[in-house]
Amino acid sequence: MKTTFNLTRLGIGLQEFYYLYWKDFRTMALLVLIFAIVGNLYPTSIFYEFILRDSKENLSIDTAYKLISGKSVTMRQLMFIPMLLTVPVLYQFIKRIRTTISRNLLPLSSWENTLIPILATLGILLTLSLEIYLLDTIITQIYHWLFYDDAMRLIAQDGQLYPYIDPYAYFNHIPLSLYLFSFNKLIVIIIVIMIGLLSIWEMRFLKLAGLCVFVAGIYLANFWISFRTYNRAMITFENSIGIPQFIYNVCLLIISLYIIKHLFKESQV
Amino acid sequence: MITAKQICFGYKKEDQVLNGLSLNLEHPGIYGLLGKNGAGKTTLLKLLAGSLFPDQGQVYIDRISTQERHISSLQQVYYLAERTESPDWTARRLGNIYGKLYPNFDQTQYLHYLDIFEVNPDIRHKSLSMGQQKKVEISFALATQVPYLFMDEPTNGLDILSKKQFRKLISQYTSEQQILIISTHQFREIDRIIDRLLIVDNKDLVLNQSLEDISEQFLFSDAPLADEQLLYQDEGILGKYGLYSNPSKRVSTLDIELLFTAICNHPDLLKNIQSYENNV
Repeated sequence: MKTTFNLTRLGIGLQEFYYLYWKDFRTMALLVLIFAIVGNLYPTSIFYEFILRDSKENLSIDTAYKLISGKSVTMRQLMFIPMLLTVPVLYQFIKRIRTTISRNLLPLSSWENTLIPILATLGILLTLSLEIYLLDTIITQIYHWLFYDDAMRLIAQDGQLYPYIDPYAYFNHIPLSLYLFSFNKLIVIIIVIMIGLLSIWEMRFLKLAGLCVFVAGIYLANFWISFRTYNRAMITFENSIGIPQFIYNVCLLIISLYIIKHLFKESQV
Repeated sequence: MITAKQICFGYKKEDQVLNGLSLNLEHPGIYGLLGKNGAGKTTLLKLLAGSLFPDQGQVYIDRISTQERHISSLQQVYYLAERTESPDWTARRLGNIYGKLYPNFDQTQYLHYLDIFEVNPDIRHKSLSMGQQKKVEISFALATQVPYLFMDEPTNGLDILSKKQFRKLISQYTSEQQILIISTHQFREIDRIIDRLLIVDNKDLVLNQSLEDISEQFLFSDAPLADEQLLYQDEGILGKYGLYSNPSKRVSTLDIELLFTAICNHPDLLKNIQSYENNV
């Protein structure tokens, strides 16, 4: 076990990953910040109109309903920026292992090479999710502070004393379920991307065909175990995590890791 | 010990680069690997290092197949590629991170080699010239102190002074237990530092001998020798150079270029000399 997996070597591998791609992490964090700002300040947005308005007190009834009905799509899409940005990093990392002889021959086992990008990607996703959470908290507090009282007063004047405030409203944080759902999806997608990249590099078309079946299987199974409720997003991890789903996820992860490990072991430069 | 047993390898199925090559690397020392362009020198080094796997046959590093990618095997081998491959880090960081993966890596020695090469360890890789990048990689390779070190055209891109420094470093800092294979086209850059010679030709390893044995077996002369059998003659700028058999074990200066040309032009030369010696 010591020869196939060693924490010190894994640490060195993660250190390598960090120093290779820390500029990309910085760019990702910056892009999330820019996207969050732009997503709230684009022309016709609530903030934009608020800044341009002469009288800060006069909130329109339309804006008040907009504030309780749901955040702009951009804020929700922010969750998927990390994934889009981690794909090129993963591509570069796998390319480096598959094309650079000295890297390919480093004393790192195939298990370590498998876990390095997955753990590093998890780290990136967690850090960026934390950034999104902090940004969301700050932005939500600003909306709350600036508009909540006025919006509630206007809606009450309009006849709705107990208005329904959407979980995705400007006054609410992004729900935890969306983080969990996104995280679950992102990990699956990242693993699939890794298998795809490794297979393509080896030009193993049989494996590639297997991969397509594998991906289709994942989505069919995910579709089967997920459920939709009216007016809500698809939720995989609801309040309770079912045992079948948990077993399914663990099996999926083990099979995926074995495939990636196998592909790394076969690697030749 | 590195053992290659009947290895065949081709990048395409119909075009084999190496065919049935066998090799035992058991004697420590500095090996010069020679071969014509496309003879398979780089391929052989990659196969020995475990970067490529043979289509047939096996390569073993201390009895462990390279295909197993065993950590203990990988820790014993370092392959210095012809083109520079290091990430855009400073040389110091390169040593700090990758050095930890090799049990015998010596950071102090590494910085010392860089000092000899006059490379600043705190400048990023991409800010260095190609020659300086190569120096960083040579320094790192030497500092790993692995038992099996393979260098593919290590002096490419180095200036004359650096080539001299390289030879000095190799002869001074290669340990007595180490096997170092240098693949090169520049015979004269290595002829004074190598202990053994490997020649790849016709998809096979045709020579694996110490320079001492070669000098005992062959006689090199730029003047005609009537009493020895002439095996090969080459026209040079300063006259005709002859490769003779050497049954009387006379001393001559080894001419690697002449030997290499003779072997490449007459593939049966080594077989002939063997049978001639047996007859004598």
